[in-house]
Amino acid sequence: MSRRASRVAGVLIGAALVLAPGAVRAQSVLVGVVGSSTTLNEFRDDERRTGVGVGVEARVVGNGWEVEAGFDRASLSPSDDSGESVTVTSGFSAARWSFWRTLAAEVGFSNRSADPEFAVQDVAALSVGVHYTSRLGANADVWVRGALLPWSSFSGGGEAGPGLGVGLGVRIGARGSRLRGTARYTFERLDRTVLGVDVPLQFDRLRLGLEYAIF
Amino acid sequence: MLHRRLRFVLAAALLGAAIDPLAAQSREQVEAAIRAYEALDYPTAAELADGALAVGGDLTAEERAVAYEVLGYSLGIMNEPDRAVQALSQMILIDPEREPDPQNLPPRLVDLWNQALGQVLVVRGMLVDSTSFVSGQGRVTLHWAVSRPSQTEVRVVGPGVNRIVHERLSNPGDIRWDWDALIDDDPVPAGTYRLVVTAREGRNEYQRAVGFSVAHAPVDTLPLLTSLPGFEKLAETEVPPRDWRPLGMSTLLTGAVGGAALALNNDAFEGARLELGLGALVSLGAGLILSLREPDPRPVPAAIRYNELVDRTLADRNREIADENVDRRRRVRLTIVEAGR
Repeated sequence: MSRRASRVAGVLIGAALVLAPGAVRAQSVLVGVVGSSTTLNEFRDDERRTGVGVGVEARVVGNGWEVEAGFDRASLSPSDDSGESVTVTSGFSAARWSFWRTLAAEVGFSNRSADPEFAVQDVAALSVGVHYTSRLGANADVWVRGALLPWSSFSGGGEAGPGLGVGLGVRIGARGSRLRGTARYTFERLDRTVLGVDVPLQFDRLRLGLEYAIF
Repeated sequence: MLHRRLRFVLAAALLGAAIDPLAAQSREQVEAAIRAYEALDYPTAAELADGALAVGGDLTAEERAVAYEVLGYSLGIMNEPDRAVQALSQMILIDPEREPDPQNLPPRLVDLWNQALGQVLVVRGMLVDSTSFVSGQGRVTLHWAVSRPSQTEVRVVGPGVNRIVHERLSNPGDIRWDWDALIDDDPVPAGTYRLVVTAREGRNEYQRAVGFSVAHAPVDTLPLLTSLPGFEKLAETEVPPRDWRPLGMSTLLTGAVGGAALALNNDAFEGARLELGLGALVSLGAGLILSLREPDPRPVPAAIRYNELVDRTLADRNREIADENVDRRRRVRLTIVEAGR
């Protein structure tokens, strides 16, 4: 099994471990489809790749807790003609626990793998942070998150200190509707060094989609 | 004039008694006494009436009452009050309902009749007021009068019932008593009854009866209430005034994340931040839409508590109605009608 495949399998298993027990006692289970826009920066500004993709998400909400996972696949093209286009498969999973009103602690894991391999870095990272949700109205809320990425791994080797990530999301639907529109912006910064040379990574992604509450 | 209505009675009796010469003679004497009384020949009227009463053991009660009446009033006019009172007393005993007509009789004769009434014990003026009521929730009014102070007993006799329902000491005059028509807490069965009033004074006793009928019908049940009249329920929600909080919150949070993302941007990279811009636009747009959208109705606690109170009161009242209907289904509507003596 290739390294990329093993990472994807790891995310799948992690998502299953996170989602399955929660679904048993869940108050609500939601699934969604998304379209994504991604900007991936590596090393230098001229190594930036952008593109769009599609994916799926699932969320299980209980009384005071929430777990979610998602995948998407995006084709990224270089900003100039010098680089190589890649297909990036991304996955994430996260678990949250509300410790004060709608303020929640969050633990997550994310993974990105590229095809062709080594065209860009495959990255796996663990995140720990806080998540705050504000209810805007009936069936509508906005949330923000801030996270520290204390551990990360790269296919090309090297190491990084704790990275940082922020997020912004909106969910909005008609009153009483099970269907909601979603938007999720994610920013991650990892200051990677290889043999003392700075080769930073930065990742911007916007997912726009629809979410349906099964129950 | 005095006994015009009785002429027909006497004529019929004379026809009926034609086969009995002695009875016919007595009745002719009564007829003659009436004629003499009306001709103001009081000695003859008294003599004929006295004679008819002396002969006629076969006179009907009505004829005997007429004879005593003619005799009593004639003797009263002839200034023989003691004999007059005695004759009128006999008349009252035979027919207690027979009363003097104050318009056509001198006051002196009316006084004599009153004296006679005070000397005998009779029950008069029996009446059952026709009525209809739910058993246990109404009463039927009975009327009677006694002529002397006495112990009075009211007995009901009918299908399977022979029961004293009332006893009392009575002074002379009209008596009115309300009866619940219950026997051992159950309504009297349907049927025809006799109400027997017995008055006792020492060894004297006088008894009279009146008939009445009792009919049963089911009692109407009450419908359950769907609302309390005068206590309409209030709207439990109200639409608040427009609220700009959604736009404010989305602006604040979008600004915070956008600022953080820009601040965290690695200096090695620059260029357009398409994803951040679109994300911020969506977030701000959502806040704006929610602020412009008609605000969500919010609950009105006072109205909710008031409605709960109304609901509780309505439920209590319907529970009472249901209980009352259970009771009503066990009851009957009694219709009581006097059936004559």
